Amino acid sequence: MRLCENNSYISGVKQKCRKIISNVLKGFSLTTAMFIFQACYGVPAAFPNALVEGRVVSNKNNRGIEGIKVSFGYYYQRDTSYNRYSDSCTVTDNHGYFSFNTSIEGRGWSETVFFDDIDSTENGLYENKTVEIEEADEVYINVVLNEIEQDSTSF
Amino acid sequence: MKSNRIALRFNNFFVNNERAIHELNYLFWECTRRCNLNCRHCGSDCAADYKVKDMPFEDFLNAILPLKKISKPDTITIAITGGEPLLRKDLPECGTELRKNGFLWGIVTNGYVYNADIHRRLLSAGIGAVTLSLDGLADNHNWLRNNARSFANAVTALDLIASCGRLNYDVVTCVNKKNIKELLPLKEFLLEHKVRQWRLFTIAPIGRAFGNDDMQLSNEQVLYLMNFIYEARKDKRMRTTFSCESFVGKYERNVRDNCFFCRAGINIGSVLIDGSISACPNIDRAFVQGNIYRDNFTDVWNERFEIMRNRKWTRTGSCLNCKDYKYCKGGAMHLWDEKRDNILTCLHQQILSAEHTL
Repeated sequence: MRLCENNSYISGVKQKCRKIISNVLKGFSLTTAMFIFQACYGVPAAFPNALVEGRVVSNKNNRGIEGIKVSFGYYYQRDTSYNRYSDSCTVTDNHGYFSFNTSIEGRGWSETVFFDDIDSTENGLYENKTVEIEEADEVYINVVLNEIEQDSTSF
Repeated sequence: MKSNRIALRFNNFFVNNERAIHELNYLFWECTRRCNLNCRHCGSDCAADYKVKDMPFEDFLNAILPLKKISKPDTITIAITGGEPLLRKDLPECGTELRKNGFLWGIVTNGYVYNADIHRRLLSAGIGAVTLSLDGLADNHNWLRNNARSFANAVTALDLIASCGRLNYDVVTCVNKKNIKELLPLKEFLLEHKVRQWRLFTIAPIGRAFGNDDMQLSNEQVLYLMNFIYEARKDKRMRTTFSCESFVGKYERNVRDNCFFCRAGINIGSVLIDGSISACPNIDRAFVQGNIYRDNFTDVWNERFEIMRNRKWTRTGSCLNCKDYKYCKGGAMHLWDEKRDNILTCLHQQILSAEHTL
């Protein structure tokens, strides 16, 4: 039994030594080529991204709002106007919760989450909102949207 | 050209060490065998009406979750492949779950059904990498893909992918007798479409490419391809590389960033459509090491795969007396079949033969 435990210990030490050697060799190569490889018929090393999740509630009753489009992006200037670019989005569920992945790290521009009421009066009518967020692996946002009073006489 | 004798020796030491460590960093998931194209060179021999059902995502996830106990999930890239992975309607949901569990993921696609809506859904699901196939300009691509609209659709996908700063992506081109003549205009086309990484392959004589003369390059064409890549790499607007499919002698480090190293079974594993545990999906099924429906994936990875980690058995056939065997170690695993008596093709020998003729 003791011999077996010793063999296992020696094997573990050997493996640790190999890993140290591996890291030294990778560093010595002066490139990232040995760190980042791809299989012949596979994808390049995937970029990491961050999980953005949270809940959207109404200012009136603090209940979750369904059907709010939540998107991540930034504003950019074209000529004299500002335009919005977003490439990840989702829609809140029936309790107002949302969750999606996006890249935050290293984008080098203002990070904005847009909340847009896209279903008109269905589920209530709410003002749109934007929230600035910081670089992180995980972001949780609680957002309160202001309900817009609907004028019943307009119909 | 760079002198590479010292680099090859250094690489040998590195490879031996990596074999001993055999840390899993790259995992293929063959999520479907269905495909919307019928490519002439398909190594998997996939088709639209493929009889095998897609693997339930839960089966795959349950098999790989124990990996979190032995390594950080964000050190493992999951390459979702097929068939055509975009034919799975639940692909964004699969990706979301993988990200929730910390794994990084990407897809290998022909781009045929890739559109703005799918692009946005995949990004929201945390996709981090895409490899898109483009096998020439319109006529040659459509010929190889057996579909008149495949080029136009792939270019739509390319523009979406290339314009997105959140994906690590590359374009892959399978070089064959037809498209080798248009590599230069294809390079210009890719540059016009803002492509930053281009990977070129030759086509292995496996799957539907087996026995198809149009697919296999002559010795002179292999030499031309090496020189083309060597020259293309001087253009810093796009990173052009030759894939890791074969040792290429004096062209090592001149056509890729690092020396040849087939990591199948050393850093690369796979879960195939029927649950088989192997390395790259194009490796002969005779080398399967286990099955997720019968075995624990982590145990199989840790305790089996000896045939891929110790490749002395490849010193046979045309490799037997090769003076560069010590650097090549029998080439890529997918170039061996169950008989294990000879490598299916050797680009190094083709290059030497072409140079001898000149």
